[in-house]
Amino acid sequence: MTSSEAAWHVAGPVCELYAQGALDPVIAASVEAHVAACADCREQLTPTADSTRLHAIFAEIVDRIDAPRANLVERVLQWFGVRADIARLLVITPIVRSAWLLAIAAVLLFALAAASADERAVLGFLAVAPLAPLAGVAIAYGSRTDPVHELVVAAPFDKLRLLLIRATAVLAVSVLVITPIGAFVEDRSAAAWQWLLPALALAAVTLALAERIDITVAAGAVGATWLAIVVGMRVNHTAAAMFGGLAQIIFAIVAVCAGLAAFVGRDRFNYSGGIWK
Amino acid sequence: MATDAELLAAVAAGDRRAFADLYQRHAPWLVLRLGRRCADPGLVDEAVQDTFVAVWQAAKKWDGRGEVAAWIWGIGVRRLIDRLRKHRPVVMAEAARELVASAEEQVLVGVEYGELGRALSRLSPELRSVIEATVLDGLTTKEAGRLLGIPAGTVKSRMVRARAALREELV
Amino acid sequence: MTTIEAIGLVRRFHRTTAVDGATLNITAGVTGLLGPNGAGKTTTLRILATVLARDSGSLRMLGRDPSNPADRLEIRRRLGYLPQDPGYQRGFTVFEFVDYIAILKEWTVRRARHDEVRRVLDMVGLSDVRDTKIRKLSGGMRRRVGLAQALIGDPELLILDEPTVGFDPQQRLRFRDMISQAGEGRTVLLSTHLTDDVAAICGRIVVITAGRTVFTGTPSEVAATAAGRVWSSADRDPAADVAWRTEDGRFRNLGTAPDGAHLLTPTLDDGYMLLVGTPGADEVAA
Repeated sequence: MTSSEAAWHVAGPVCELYAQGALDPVIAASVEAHVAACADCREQLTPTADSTRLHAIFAEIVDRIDAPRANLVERVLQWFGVRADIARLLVITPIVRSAWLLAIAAVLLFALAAASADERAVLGFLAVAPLAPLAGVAIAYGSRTDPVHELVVAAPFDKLRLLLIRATAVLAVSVLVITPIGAFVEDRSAAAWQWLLPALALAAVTLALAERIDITVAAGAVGATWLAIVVGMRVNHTAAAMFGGLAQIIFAIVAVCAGLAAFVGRDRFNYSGGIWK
Repeated sequence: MATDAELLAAVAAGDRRAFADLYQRHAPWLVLRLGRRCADPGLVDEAVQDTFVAVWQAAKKWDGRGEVAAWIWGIGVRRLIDRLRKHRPVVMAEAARELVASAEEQVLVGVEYGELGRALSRLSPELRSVIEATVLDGLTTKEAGRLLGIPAGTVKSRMVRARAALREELV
Repeated sequence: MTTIEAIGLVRRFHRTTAVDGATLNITAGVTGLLGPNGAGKTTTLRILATVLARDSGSLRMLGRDPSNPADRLEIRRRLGYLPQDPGYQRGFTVFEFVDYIAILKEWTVRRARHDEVRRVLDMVGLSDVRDTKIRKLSGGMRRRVGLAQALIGDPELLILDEPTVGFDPQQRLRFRDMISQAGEGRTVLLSTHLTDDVAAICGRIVVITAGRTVFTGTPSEVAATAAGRVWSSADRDPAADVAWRTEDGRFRNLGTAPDGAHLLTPTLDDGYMLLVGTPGADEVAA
């Protein structure tokens, strides 16, 4: 086989035929093998290609590279029917913050202490668990903790909706983390769910208050009041009574009322959205 | 003019312009070459997209050996196979195409492959496509099977027959 | 059509009155809000950016009143805002951050939104670094990211708070260029305490001090307010409000010129300083 390698290149007409698919398969294979190793002949092929098509392909490539990686949680949310941009907002809520992690850790400690089925410890868990999502909500929105808050306020996106989205993210993560912890607290594992409605009620009240005062201050006030109530009622009631069926109904009513109040006052929130007035 | 290796190194460092240049150099031939193995241009487009997204993400992993074009082809043909597995189009019937082999091309074949080229062209399309997939495209028997839509065992037996036929022709 | 019409804006914080009767009449083109630090520029801009409520005064922007929730929403849809310290979400790349703001600006369709993000990043020259984390960028580039997010959606009104502060001269020149380009076909209102910035890009200037508008006009009109009040002398003239040594060794004096003084052609700086910074400036401006 004699091939003068230095001289063999793909001539113009052969390029055209190759691009049209009109070459004998063996010759085409020969062209391909050569092109794989010869930059000049690759250049020869370039004009034969459909530039519109190549541009369209590149636009898609750029978009795929640019697109912030939709992580697992986003995809799961979208699978459940959540709109893509809302899923994105949910996922980028600044959840991992030291203050909030401390709150979760405190809950853990209480739970571990309560594993001994001591009634006081159970009460401790039920009192502290709702504070964890509350702390999360407090830091999920507002100028103290959101470095981009000015831009958020100036943007058209509904502020209360954004707060709700972030609060939902916080609550969801809280439930996922704390519920299994709660199951350890007692054999009954009623404690695993008895903290949920109180948490919802506290969050709802905080949201309603956030329309008038700074959300961090509101959360602090609500949390402190809650603890005061629990401690005060402890004197005369058992944990079972304080968190039993009737109490759960009361929590639910509080949550709904606070939610309605928040809805009614939403325009107020939309203006200064947490900026101290 | 930067070499392909230099461009690829820049891409590994996140240089978008180098990436665009690399695309301009290699997308044209890749589209054509993949187009000869798959009749559906939509699938080819998607395979090319997959390829360059992979190039962007894996640029660091090129071992520096051989041609960048060969590396890109290795990625490209496997992406095409992945796409084909999900959605198999109508297979191209090579034999149905009109062969316009001018005198010049005959000479080219003779010059480049000489005896081998002529022997290859006398093989049946089935045997030849197996040789092309394994030898030229660098695929494993399993991958060749996926590309051509035949079982790996068939690939192996056809290769044996092809080699035997070629040996007969050339000896 | 007037983009912004503000009369007698007032805004108090606890015991301080940050804005005390600011009056503005802003139309298309680039307008500079010029004043010393603490003059109330940032507060005024925050009111205009619908981030703060005004205590009193009338305000109409793009034909609407931001006190009204529905109007406020419409204003926000046509507004781009770059605050003084924009801040950014930790751990975000340039693209992710601008994409996030675009979502907040109601760009819900992913592909269109990404195309828009690419467009604004192109405009500010950050296309090559869109995968870089913001915390790894220099201050100048971060500010450009801020400008990019303000340009999302091609807003009719751009509000920029001290956009060039902290820049070196080269960065400042580049940024001015970007702002000039961005200003074409739009209303741009930017605040600064640097007179050479306004001289370079602003067609109109609003001079503000102690929360009040003291002058509105073109750069040459601002300079003209100092006519007859700038003179040269061999030594510092005690009659001058402000005086400093110039390159030729003589002194440039501002204030009430004595008879027979060697008057100089006033510059924008002279006008600005007399309007704003010197003792007795209140009487001068009256």
